[in-house]
Amino acid sequence: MVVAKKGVLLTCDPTVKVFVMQMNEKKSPDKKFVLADLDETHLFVHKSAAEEVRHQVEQFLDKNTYQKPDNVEDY
Amino acid sequence: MTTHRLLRYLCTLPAAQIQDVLQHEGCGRAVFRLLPSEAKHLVLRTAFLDVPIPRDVVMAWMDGTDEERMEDALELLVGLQFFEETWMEPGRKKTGIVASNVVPGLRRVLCATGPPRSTLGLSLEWHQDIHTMDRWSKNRWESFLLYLLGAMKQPWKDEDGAEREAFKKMETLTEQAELVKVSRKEGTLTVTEKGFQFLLQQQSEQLWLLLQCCLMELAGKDEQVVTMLSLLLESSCLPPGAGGVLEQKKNEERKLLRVLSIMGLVMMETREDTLYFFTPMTALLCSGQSVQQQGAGVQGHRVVVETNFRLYAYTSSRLLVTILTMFCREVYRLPALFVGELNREAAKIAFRQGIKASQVVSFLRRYESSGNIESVLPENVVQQLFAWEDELNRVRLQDAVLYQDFTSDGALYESVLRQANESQHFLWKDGEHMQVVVALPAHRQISEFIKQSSSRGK
Repeated sequence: MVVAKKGVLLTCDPTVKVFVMQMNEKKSPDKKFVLADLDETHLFVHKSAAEEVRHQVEQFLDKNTYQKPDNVEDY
Repeated sequence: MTTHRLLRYLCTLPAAQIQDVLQHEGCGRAVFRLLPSEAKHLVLRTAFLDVPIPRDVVMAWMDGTDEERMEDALELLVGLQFFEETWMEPGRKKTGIVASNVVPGLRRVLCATGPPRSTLGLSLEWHQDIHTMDRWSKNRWESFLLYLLGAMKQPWKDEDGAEREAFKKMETLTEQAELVKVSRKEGTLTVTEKGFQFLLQQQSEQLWLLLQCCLMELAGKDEQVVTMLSLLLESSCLPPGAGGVLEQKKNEERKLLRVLSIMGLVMMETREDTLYFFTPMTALLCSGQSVQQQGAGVQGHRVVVETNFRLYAYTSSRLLVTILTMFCREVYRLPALFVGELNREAAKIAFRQGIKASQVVSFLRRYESSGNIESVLPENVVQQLFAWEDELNRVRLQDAVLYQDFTSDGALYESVLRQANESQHFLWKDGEHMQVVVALPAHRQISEFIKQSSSRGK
């Protein structure tokens, strides 16, 4: 019998996928949001977790990107 | 091949309306100027021939040109009623083109010398220095865009009811074009994603987008559309400063002239009667040139971007500075100089608002000075802008439905895949495990299909 699951398709590169899977691992069993691990660049996640995932990934990228100081005195 | 917005709009009109518009010499000349070069070539070759010409002969004329561009040019000319498709021989498959009823007027345009005869009944000329008028029209256009951006509160005077009405009309047009959202309660304007992209376009495209909204509002009233189009096209061929008396025009023409006055295309002056004069900006309507082609360092402004992402804008234009602050951080602002910095934070705010990196790059390139290597946009800046844009796309989320457990029913799996592809909602599949992901809007259709297939199978 065919099963249909509603959710959100998450498309990303392998690095971000590893980060999202780690996020999922840290959650308690009732709060895990990954419904299916599709392939290297796709995950199927719960709709309610979509915005949190986007926000956490942005923070992760911000932390790991070099930002030039904005101090005007440097110029 | 990029077709001018006006030409795309003309192709949507009924054939009779297009022919009415193109009857006037000025309109024919204006439309001819806007045609892409391949289309101009075809028109010049065939304008004085009354016999059908085989299609393959026409295609052979531009040997070396991309065949797709030639086909687009031919399609455009047929859409504009310059040519009609015809059979070369009755009952045979060979097709050709033949000049339509519009062409005799076009012949007059191509052979004419001097300015075209105008049907607008203009009897006046601007009495002061034309540069004053030019400066006024540029300030007027800037004021309107600053008003849309919320950087200017009320460009009209309280006592001028007609001007206020015209501004409100323009506000409605920009709302219909989905460039802004108007909050009636607070009386404020918020620029939409399309609006931000509009602000980075070339001025002639901006003008025509708004004029097209104005024309579409009159759709259904055929005479008014023809009158308005004729007025716009003819005005673009007039010498700057040509004018007339407003009260002598019809009601819809008066309304259109008020709207053109907001955009800086027409200048109004009140003496005993209200007079109107077409400004030099009307030449932009049908020039067919990009602003960059009109002169190096657009309209006296220059923007230099350095390899360290510093941006220097030599300008006193509030509008240009406001647009630059949409995607760069302000460092200093002096009366004739703006210093900014392209950084990740400002770029990402701009991309989230709907601006694309390619638009930012083409906007900055417009202000390069030709022949000056210092002002060429550095390649590392271009690449970094695209890299910042790609960062926003590192994670893409889309509402979807996952179908799995097809078990051994390969036929049903293949049918569902086919359905998903046909509805253009297919997102992902795994043939080995027979799983498919489809966008949410297609869920109802696919689940009905699966139910029907399962019940047929039983």
